[in-house]
Parts: sequence; C-alpha cells; structure tokens
Amino acid sequence: MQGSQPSLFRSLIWWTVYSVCGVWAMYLVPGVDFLLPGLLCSMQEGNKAQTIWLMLLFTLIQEGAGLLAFGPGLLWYAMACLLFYLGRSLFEAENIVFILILSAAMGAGHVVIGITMRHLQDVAILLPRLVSDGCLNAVIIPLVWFVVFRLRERELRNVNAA
Amino acid sequence: MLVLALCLYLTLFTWNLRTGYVDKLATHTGLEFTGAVLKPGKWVRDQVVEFWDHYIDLVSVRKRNDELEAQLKEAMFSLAEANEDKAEVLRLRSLLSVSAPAGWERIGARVIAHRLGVQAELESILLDKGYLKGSGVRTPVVTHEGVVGRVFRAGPYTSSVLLLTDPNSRIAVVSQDNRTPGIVVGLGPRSQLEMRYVALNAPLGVGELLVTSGQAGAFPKGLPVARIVSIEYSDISLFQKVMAEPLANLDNLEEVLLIGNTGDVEAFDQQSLDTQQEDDAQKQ
Repeated sequence: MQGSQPSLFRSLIWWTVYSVCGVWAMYLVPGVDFLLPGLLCSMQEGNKAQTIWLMLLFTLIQEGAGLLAFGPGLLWYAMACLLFYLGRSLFEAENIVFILILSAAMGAGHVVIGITMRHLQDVAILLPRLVSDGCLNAVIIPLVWFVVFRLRERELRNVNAA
Repeated sequence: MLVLALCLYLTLFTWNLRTGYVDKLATHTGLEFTGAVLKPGKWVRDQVVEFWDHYIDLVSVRKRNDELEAQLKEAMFSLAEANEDKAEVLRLRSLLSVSAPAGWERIGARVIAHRLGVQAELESILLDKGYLKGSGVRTPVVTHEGVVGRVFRAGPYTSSVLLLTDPNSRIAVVSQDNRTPGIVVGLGPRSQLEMRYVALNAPLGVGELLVTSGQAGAFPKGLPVARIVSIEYSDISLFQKVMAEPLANLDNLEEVLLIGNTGDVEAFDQQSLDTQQEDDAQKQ
C-alpha cells in the first residue's frame, strides 16, 4: 500500500469525507468506533504525519462527543498505535488476520479503558455495556477496515497512475 | 518510554481535571464537528418525512386529527381549572407576602444523536443548541411528559445532555402528595429509577408522582420526574427502597425543551460527579 502519496488537498478531502461518514456511522451504531479503521489504514501506508494528524482529529471528535473527562479517547488511539507497531514486528501489517487479532485486542482494551476511567474519574459505568460495546468493536472494526483499505488502495492506485 | 508516556498522560489528565481546558478544546472542536456533520442530514431527513406525511401519506391524517381534537378539548378544560387555581395562588401569595419564584424561560431544541462515539458510556443525547442559544452547562432539559436530564457539556452550537436514567444522574425531588423529599438516581438505560434517602417513617405511596423540589435552583420546582412503582422496607437500612418509573419516554426523543433561568435563583454550584458520589458514600 505504500507508494506515492496523494496531494495534501486531495488527502484533506478524502479524510474529511471519511470522517463525515464515520460520524454518521457512529450515529447509526452507538458505541462503535468507525474512525479507527481509517487510522489503521494510515499507519499501514506508513505516512507518519498523516497518522498523527488523524489521531489528533479523531481523538478530539471522540472526546468531544463523549461525556467523560478528556483521556479515554487518547488512551484508545494510543493503544491502537502501540498494538499496531508491536504487532507489525510479528505479523504482516496488511493481513486481515492481523487486523482481526488487533480488533479483538482493542475490544478487550475498550473494557479495560472503561474500568480504568471508572476508577480514575469516579464515574459509574455499566459493565455490561462496556463488554457489549467491546464485542461490537471487535467484530465491526475488521469489516470497516476491509472496506476502507480497498477504497484507500484504489485512491493510491489512481494517484500512482496519475 | 512507556512509563514516560504514561506519566505524561496522567499529568495531562490531572491538569485537565483541575482546569478543564482540554475538555473545553474537545467540546469546541470535536462536539461542534459532530454537530455540524449531523445537523444537515437530520434537517434533510425531517424535510423528507414532513413532505411524505403532509402530501403523500394522508391515510392516517384524519384519524390523528380526530384524536388531537379530543385531546385539545380535554386540555382546554384542564387549563381552565388550572387558571382558577393560579388566580387563587396569586391571591394567597399577596395575602401571606410570599415572593413569587424567579422566572424560567423555555427554549426548544432538537435531538441530533443518542450516545455517539466509542467513549459514549454514559446515557446521553446531543442537542442542536449550544451555549450561544441558551443551552449552557447544567441547563435542565425536559419534554411535555417530564424531566429528561441536564446539559453536561455545551459548545457554542451543540451540547450533550446527561439523561436521568444514567447512574451518575442525581435529581432532588419531592413526592407530589406527601411532600416527602429524596434524590432520584438512575440505574441504567431502560431501567427504573431509585429514590434514595427516604426515611423509614416518611409517608409515601405507590403510584405517587415525584416532582422536582427546586432546591439549589438546579431545576424549576414542580416538574414531573417519575412515578413510584414499588416501596420496600428493610430491617438493616435507615431508608426505604423506593423504585420509580421515569415519565419521559427517553427512547424516541426528538424534541426537548431547555429551561433557562431568567431570575435571581442561585445557580447550582459546580459539583463534579466525584463530589456527588462522595456525598452518596458518606450518607450510606
């Protein structure tokens, strides 16, 4: 997937449209992160600057839309980055199996982050909801990643062809 | 490296808890971005549905019209009775030299989302009004059926509301007939509410309505909150176990009312969820 990158303007448009679609998807399915697959694709492209900007944008969206104090969104994306870069040394980064394992780990991580915030922020968070959202994330993220990956591949192919 | 990152994170987290600056940044960027994305789509959907209902699907319109006419007649009778009661209250107030409570203005708002995002673990809704349009932090949110919750986060044009069914929600209430005070606490989505700190000998009845007590100016007095469904007495507790059903239907919220304070009622002091839970723990 790594190759020549699209222009800044084109990337801006692409990721803005992706973020808008992601927000609408999160409206339809509460509790699931539809922005994370985009971040994973960006990490797979190897574009560090783009990854950092996307992480910042997605963190602000998640933290803004949630009611908890700032912190869980940052932890969530930091955990995704850490697991990705650690897992890349063991697995092929663009393999669906790697994404399935990563999503399962993120689903478990969602529960861990929720329990951590429960104690850190002294708020009542229902454990059944944490677990169900974690399971949903583990199942849905790979599916969304597959679609986003294909779209992103086509986009980069068009750029290379141009 | 990991330890350093963790220390940096905890430093940022603690600093944010004390100052709230990063929360404000997230509210003014993330929440506003979400609102800006959802509002146009909701507007288009509303226009399409309205066009369909008004110009194409006329089958149920006549039946609905008849139902509404009957409801209107009943409401007009109730209004006439209420006007008589109101006049009597005004006369009694002036006789007893009791000052009238400060005014509360009502502002309509639309619900644009329920529990958005991966960090939406609390029961919440997003509204299409922010602090520039009267939806400030801690503004009460109601429907014609009853209390819905309070604004928890407010950007300039979008705000988030903590629903009364959330376990972190606390509303000071009083029973309508017996005037027994208590605190209504949420127990989760589609669950009943619990009324806490009701003494064992306090009079209370199943089916009784719970209304806001108006204490500390958090909510206007007299707003319906819930109806009592069960009362249990315990040998090991100082309090009754009172369960209630919320009156507002929180599953299909589309429009709500924001109740803005226009008078000199003292604002509710900023209490974090931590403080509320500490009070809970001490009282228990």
